[in-house]
Amino acid sequence: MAQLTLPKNSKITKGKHWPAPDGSDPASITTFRIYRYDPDTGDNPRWDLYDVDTSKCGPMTLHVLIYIKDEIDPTLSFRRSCREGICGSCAMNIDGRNSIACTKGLDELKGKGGVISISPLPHLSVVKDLVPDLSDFYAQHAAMEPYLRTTTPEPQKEWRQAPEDRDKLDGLYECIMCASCSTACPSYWWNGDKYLGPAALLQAYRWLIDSRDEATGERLDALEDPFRLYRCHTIMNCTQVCPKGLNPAKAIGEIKKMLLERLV
Amino acid sequence: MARLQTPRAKITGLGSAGHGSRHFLVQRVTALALLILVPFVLFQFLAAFSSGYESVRIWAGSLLGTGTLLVLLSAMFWHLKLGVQVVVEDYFGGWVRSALLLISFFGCLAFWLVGVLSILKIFIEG
Repeated sequence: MAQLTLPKNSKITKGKHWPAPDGSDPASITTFRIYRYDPDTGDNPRWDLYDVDTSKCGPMTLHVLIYIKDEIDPTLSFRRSCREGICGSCAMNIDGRNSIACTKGLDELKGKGGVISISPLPHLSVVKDLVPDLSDFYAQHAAMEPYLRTTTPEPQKEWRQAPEDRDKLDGLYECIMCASCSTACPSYWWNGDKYLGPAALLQAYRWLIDSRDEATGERLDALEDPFRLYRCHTIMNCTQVCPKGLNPAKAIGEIKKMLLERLV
Repeated sequence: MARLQTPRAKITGLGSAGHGSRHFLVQRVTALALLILVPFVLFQFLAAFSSGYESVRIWAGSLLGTGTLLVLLSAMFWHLKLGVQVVVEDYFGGWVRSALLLISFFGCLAFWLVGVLSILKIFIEG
């Protein structure tokens, strides 16, 4: 259900300002406005301002966050792991758009009034600072049964697949489950408890289109629902924000086509 | 007290409703019908209006006019009902959702019925 205002305990207040050390070159100082929330204090979330000398850190947003944690404020929490766009851990809202911090270059950020905002992925419960609760998101992925389902006895060697059928998985298997797409989708914001969201549906299509899978009908049965699949109104935010350049909206359209093919 | 449920149980919920594709299909078919019928009827009306009220009535009472208007009304109110349903399901929950769905369904049905009876009246009276 649509929720157009923040609950009382989620209203964001003004936080601390962390100025750059004296003697820093003003030309290389960029101000970052970062969402801070600590559940242990019971306080509302706040925006902290950090003046960062970007000449002292790497070229990506993640480098700035690591610099802040190492050099300015060690209490800042965020997820990160591979730092090369493979693990999807550092997904967050950067400069108003969901992305992964490790591949988002500082030169790509425009900022607003010279300030670049960084907040957790939208419309999820926040565990701490930039760390959102992805439990439901992962459960949606698990519900898609993202593995080969067969009833034919397993062959002695491998399940064979023609090269052209393998090609159909390109643009689907590369998903890193960063949740940028799902949390950019208004349908997911309003009905995230029932709508599976673009990431889970992209994965669903990855297994629906796999020529080796024998559960296509059952997989389609599970998606035949006004909320699970048909909450997608082709808004396309998912495709616009995907840091891997994938197209979940197209995958969802293909699932709808498969269901219609079954119907008429 | 908050319900203690695993995320998987929450996401699975009551399972798949087993429908949705027909709604999607009919919404697109009625949209296509409206795309053709609305300009056609507008053109017919504008052409007939230039010759006055009586010629519009004669066109509406003809077999082609009555048939076209009945199909147009049916496609229009069916499409409206399906469209409003999507908006209501998107933005409302609980009893408000149920109430609005009922109101929109019976509203569309009532307007469709009034339209159909009016056209049939013109057709029968000649």
